[in-house]
Amino acid sequence: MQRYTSVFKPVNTIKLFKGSLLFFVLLYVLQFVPIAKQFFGPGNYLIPYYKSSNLFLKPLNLLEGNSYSAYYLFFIYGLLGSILAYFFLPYKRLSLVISYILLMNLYHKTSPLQTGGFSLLTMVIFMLLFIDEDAEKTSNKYWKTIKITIANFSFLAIRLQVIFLYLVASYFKLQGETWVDGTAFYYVLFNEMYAHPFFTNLFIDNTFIVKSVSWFTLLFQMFFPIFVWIKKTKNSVLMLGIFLHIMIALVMGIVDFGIIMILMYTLFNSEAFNTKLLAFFIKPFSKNKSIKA
Amino acid sequence: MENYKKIIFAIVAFLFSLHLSFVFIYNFDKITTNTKIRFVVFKYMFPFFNQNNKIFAPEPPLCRQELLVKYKNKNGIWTSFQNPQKEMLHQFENNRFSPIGTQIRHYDYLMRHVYDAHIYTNYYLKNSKDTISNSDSLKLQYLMKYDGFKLAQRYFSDLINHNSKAQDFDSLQFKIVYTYPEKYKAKPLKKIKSTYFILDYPTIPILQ
Repeated sequence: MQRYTSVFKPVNTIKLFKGSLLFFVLLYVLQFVPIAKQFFGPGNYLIPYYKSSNLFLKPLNLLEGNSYSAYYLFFIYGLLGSILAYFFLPYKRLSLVISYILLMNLYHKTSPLQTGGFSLLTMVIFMLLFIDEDAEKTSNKYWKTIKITIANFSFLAIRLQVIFLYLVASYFKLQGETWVDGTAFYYVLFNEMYAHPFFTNLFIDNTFIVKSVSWFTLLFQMFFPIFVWIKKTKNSVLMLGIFLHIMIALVMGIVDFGIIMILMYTLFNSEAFNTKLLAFFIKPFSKNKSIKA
Repeated sequence: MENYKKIIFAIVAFLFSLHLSFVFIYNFDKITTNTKIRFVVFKYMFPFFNQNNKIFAPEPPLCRQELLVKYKNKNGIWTSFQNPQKEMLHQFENNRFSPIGTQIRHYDYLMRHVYDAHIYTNYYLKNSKDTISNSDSLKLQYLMKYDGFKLAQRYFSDLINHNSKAQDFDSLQFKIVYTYPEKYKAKPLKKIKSTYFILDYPTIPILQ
């Protein structure tokens, strides 16, 4: 209880995590620009998805109808601008809030096309809004305690959300037949939409590969939620996860999901390791600044 | 420890536990059938914590699905059925970071709508007493009531209008082919026996 109300330790982890997520979103949106009109512009090829009267949803779903679709570039360039503002200007939390609102508008419009990884990303960015890395600098002792406590619990909630993803995925995979009998990867390879033909031709008749990939995926998702908390197994499970998600990106072509999940692993690294990583990325931009561990 | 810290901790910890319980119920929605709890949970989760964690679960897609389209020109000659997604997939194979990945998923999205329109139409054809006796006309009438089907009509009309300015086309037709592979027998791709399920659709006009 004392730890949760008095100190927020993973300051550099959060700085690194926020920065890397926003940098990913920046690149993702940039590569989307040439084809954006098809999805967001007037006469786009998506039909309204959320026919909801939810009050919170409306400001986060302005592109749903036709009234704002003519201004879709405002949302795209606004998001790019707010992310750049986050990196190079003060008022970082304000930039993050604006980025979140604009991102959610773009996300909701295209949500039927997005992966589970992207919904995790939007949720995590929302929870990051509650984390103030500089909470300990607050002078009012009550306000400081509130900020630190919320930051600690939000950090835990984000980590648990990653755990939930694997837990839910593995639980429901166990309800099926193909993951248990080890042939799930065969169906993935057979489907052109989800498999690169090079890997299909290489692996589809190889029983060892087909079964081990299917079972490895299932076992990894089942045991990640346990082994990632144990000091001795944490690094190995994270390395296996990185390998799994790189393979998902290359073989199945679900690149955004793979990158998002690998970025999520930052949250499970030690603060010391993330401090070094952060220093490495910040070095070219701030010659005089050092990062406190 | 000071009292105010205990109070703050208790409040935040309570909210956190509530959040976790809601996330749990949302993901494993069979936990409770209580409609009031489900209503509250769904209201809380959407839009900030909406999530889809059932990735390829309980099964990956068990068949290959293809939305094919053919066009008829004003002289009454049909093209062969073609799958524009093939070219997209080919481009994506060469560059996994290409934004075409989203367009591939979008094509899949259109296919789902065309399939859903078929389900919707079948339901009404079976359950409604209609005055139109021509089943094709009736089917078309129901298909055109489905927004997703009209979207696909607009998408493929724009595609042909954009791509073949030299030739005038006036009609198009969809077909969805589902290819189910045989059970796993460690065969090379070309030797895998498949069964097919085909959905045919009536001819519809190309929008100008």
